Order: sequence, then structure tokens, then C-alpha cells
Amino acid sequence: MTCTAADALQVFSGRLAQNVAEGSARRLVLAIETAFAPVPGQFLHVAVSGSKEPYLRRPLSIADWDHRRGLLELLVLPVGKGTRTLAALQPGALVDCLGPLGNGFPRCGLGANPLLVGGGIGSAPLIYLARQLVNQGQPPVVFIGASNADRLAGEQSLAALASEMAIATEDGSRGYRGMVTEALVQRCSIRPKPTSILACGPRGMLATIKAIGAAHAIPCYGSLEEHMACGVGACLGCAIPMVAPTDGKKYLRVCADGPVFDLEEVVLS
Amino acid sequence: MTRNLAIQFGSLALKNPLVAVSGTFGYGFDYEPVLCPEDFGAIVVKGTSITPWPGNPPPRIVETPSGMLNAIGLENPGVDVLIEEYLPRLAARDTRIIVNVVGKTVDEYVAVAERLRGHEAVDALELNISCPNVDAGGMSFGTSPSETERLVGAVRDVTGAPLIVKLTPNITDIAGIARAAESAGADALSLINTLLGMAIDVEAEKPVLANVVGGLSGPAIRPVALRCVYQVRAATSLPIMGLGGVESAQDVLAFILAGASAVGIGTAIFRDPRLPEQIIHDLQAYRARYDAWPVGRAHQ
Repeated sequence: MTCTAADALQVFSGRLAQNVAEGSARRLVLAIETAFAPVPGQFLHVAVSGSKEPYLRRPLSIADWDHRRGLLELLVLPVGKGTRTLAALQPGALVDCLGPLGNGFPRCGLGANPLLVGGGIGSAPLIYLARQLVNQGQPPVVFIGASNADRLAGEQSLAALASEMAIATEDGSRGYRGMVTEALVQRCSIRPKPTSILACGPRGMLATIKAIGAAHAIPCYGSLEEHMACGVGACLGCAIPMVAPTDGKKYLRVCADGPVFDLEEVVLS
Repeated sequence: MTRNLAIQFGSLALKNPLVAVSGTFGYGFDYEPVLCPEDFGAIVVKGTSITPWPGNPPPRIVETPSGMLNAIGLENPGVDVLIEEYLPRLAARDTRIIVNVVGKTVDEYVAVAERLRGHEAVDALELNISCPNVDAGGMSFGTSPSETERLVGAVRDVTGAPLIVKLTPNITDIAGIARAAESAGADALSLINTLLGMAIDVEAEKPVLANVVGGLSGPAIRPVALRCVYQVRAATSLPIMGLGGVESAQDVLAFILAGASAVGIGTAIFRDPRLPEQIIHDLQAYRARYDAWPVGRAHQ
């Protein structure tokens, strides 16, 4: 029952070092002492509270990880009981985490010009991803969008890492007025064209990106969000339909087969 | 000092009373190294059918007060994949392996039992006659004493493995089903499966689960489970695996006192995978009170 490998599944506590506003969301910085080696796109299954309400953990993307300082970042948009409780935690609180979980974004075969697209709070895992790409000498183009400026997430962190950045809001309160995918379509016609698209955000946004990728022959990978019970692949609660079902298998598990999928493999509508 | 927590569940000697229950622990490996098959007295692997079952469309789960609803629909790759892929790995582990068996017809249950007959890694079969999430078979067997008798008898005819029958609480008289299983040759009973429930999304004005209804689990159902174990213990002499909302050593002891000689844990692991280790630790203090586990002592 002991965990030594840094990439092995483990349960650990993070002490909340910072809880700061980031638009409508909160940026939680956890100080952790355990050996930990997550891949961008992986997530943590986070216990919300000691009480029975809410009962289950919440899956949250690893937004950033500073290996040297042992600081882990999560972006939490308070939308329900669990996220509201987490967003209200005070510095010093211990946060019980299970992870790292799931498969992250692919690390090779992305081509010379990877483009990252974040929708709302979905920008969270792109920060750590962009940092890794920069470390690999492959600074990415980053597009983020949201319904309004307040719902943009990770803008400052991503701006510091991106080779080129675009922002879109549906109400025009910041950047391009419209959907981030509209800005993406325009960008796909400009050279150098993106060689891969790595995205996280609402299902509808991912479905549009999948169509854009197909039209421009650009491989697309997306991180999906889903309610989860176990988070490790045991309970089969977070099913996503497969594009190519077989006789006896129609679904993949968002937690263990994803959360990052080649968008060609999953049904997003 | 580590106390010996061993307990006899029918013909199965368990090293401790704690059992990972079907559908919550996959095939035993998903939580490793945090939680391993050998941490339990036994594990019950995912409900297994003769052919692969795809399961229900999403959403399949929803959180509820002190628990959750699920309508997975018994998604599983079928008995052949269990035999080829998982049983060889499980055979090497120091725990008891119980296979939960599902089917849409008596013949399908019988076929799975025949495929598993004599398999050295399989310590017992658990007949799932109580899943609320499938259209045909499933719970309909478990709500009728005559259907229960017909199904259990048919499987009994083809297997020498210890036969556990898993009962549903979604019935007026659970003791009647227990007696039917006993008379048809069951070796043990496990109870309870989930309670039928539903949740409605008031914004969308429709049920949350694609399957409309689902099975309620978690501490919310513990009092119901305890009552069922108590009633069944009074009605039959079969060994009982008690389950439903267990999340502490105190809960384990309560089920033992009600009449269980094995105690399942499931949904609570989702919340805290370290819980089984804690429960095993805490059980030692309880065990020290007794010469033998006080199975059914609450009836005295």
C-alpha cells in the first residue's frame, strides 16, 4: 500500500497556499510534499469536504505544476455545491487529492505548430500543457474564449507562454467578438497553419473544433469534462459514446480512457 | 499487534470480513497501488454476462444526498474476456475471487456458470438477480420467489462452486426471496443491491439519468440494508454477505451483529480509497472484544 513512483496513483494532501480570484473563477495553489509527476491533461479527484455533503470527489484538471517549488495549481469555477465549497477554502486548508489520473495530451506527433484552444474554465489544463510545449522548444499558439471577459480563465499565465495569443468573448467584452471557434476558423487559413489542435472546453466547442479539424485535415485532441464517481476506471459512470462501436462495446470511460481523446474517436453531440 | 480478523463465510475462509462489491471495484486493479485486491477478504468482480454488454447511454450517475444513483446498465466485456484477461491476473492475488453473474434469461446465467465451471481462480459465483438497470431479466427474477427458485435451481445444476444469490431490497418481502433461493440450493446470500430511485433536473425539466431510474447507493441506504440483513437472518440459515452504505468499522460490526459473516463496501471507496485500510485497522479493536465474530448476536 505504499506509493513510491511519482507517476503512480496516490492519495495525498495539498496545503492551500493561495486562493485568488481569476475572473469568476478561483485559482487554488496547493503546496504538496509528495513525489508527483503529472502529465499535462491529467486530473485530480479532489475530496470536497469532511462532511457527507457533497459525497463524491470532484475531478479537476491540473492547471499547472511547479516541480521545483512543489506548487500545484487548480482553477475552480464555482458552479455547484462541490466547486462552491472548494472555491471558498481558506489558505492553510488541507485538500485531499487522488491522482494523477487519466491520460494527458499527446506529447509527440503534434507538428511544428500546435494550437491550443480553451473555452471558459476549460483553459485550465492548457497552462501546464503550454509550459511543457515551451520547455520542448515548441511554444504554442493559444486561443481562449468565453461568454464574457469575466469567464476567461488562465489568460495571464497563457499569455506568458504563447507564441501568439487570441482572445474571444461572445459579448465582445474582451478581444474578438464571437465564438473562439470562429476566430479559430480564420486562423486555420493563415500560414503557418496549425499542425495540431489541443483543446479543452464545453462539448459544443469541442464538436465545432472536431469539424474544423476535419475540414482542414488537422488532428484534434480534446479534454472532456464529465461527472465521475470513482475517477479511476472502475465504476463506468463517465461513459462517452464511441464513433466506431462494436457489437458489445459502445462507450469509453472519460476518466480512464480519457479525459483527452482524439476527437475522431468520440461522439460529442 | 495485528489481530487475526479471519471469518468463515459459508465454505469460504476470508482473511477479513471486508469485501469489495460488484460494480464498484472493476476487476480489482484500477485503484492500485492505493488499494489492492489483497487488502480485502474477497472481491466481487463486475457483473459478467455470456456476451459483451454495452451498458446504458450517459448520463449514468448522479450524486444524491449521502450517496449516488447509478444506471450503468451492467456494461461488461463478457465472460470470455474475464477468463482470458482478468482471472489469470486475479489468480495470483491473495484474496477470494467472487464472480458476479448476470443474464437476460435463465439460459444466459447458466451459460456463464458453465463457462466458469471448475476455474481455479473462481472461489464463488454471485447471481445478480437484483440489478434495477436492465430491461429484461435482472431484477424481475429477484422480485418473484418462483422465478428466483427457477433461476437458482438451473444454475445450481451446472456448478459446484459456492453459489451466492444477491437480493434486491425493491420488494415487499425480502425474506420470501431468501427462502426461495435457499430451497433452490443457494449456498449464501448477499444483500442488498441498490434501491430504485431517480433524480430530476429542474432546469431541463427532465430526469437526470438517461435510463430515467437508477440504483441508490451510499450511506443513505445503510439503515435499509441493515434491516434487510436482520430480517433475512431471521428467515434463513444461509450465510449472509451484508452490504449497503458501509463506511466504517462500526458499520461492519453492525452488519455482523445483524447476521452477516462478510460485509461489502463499495460507494464509500469512491469517496475515500484509503477507507478499507482504515476499517481493517479499526476492526482489530472490535475483534479484541470477542472470542469469535459475533455473527447475528443482535438477534439474542
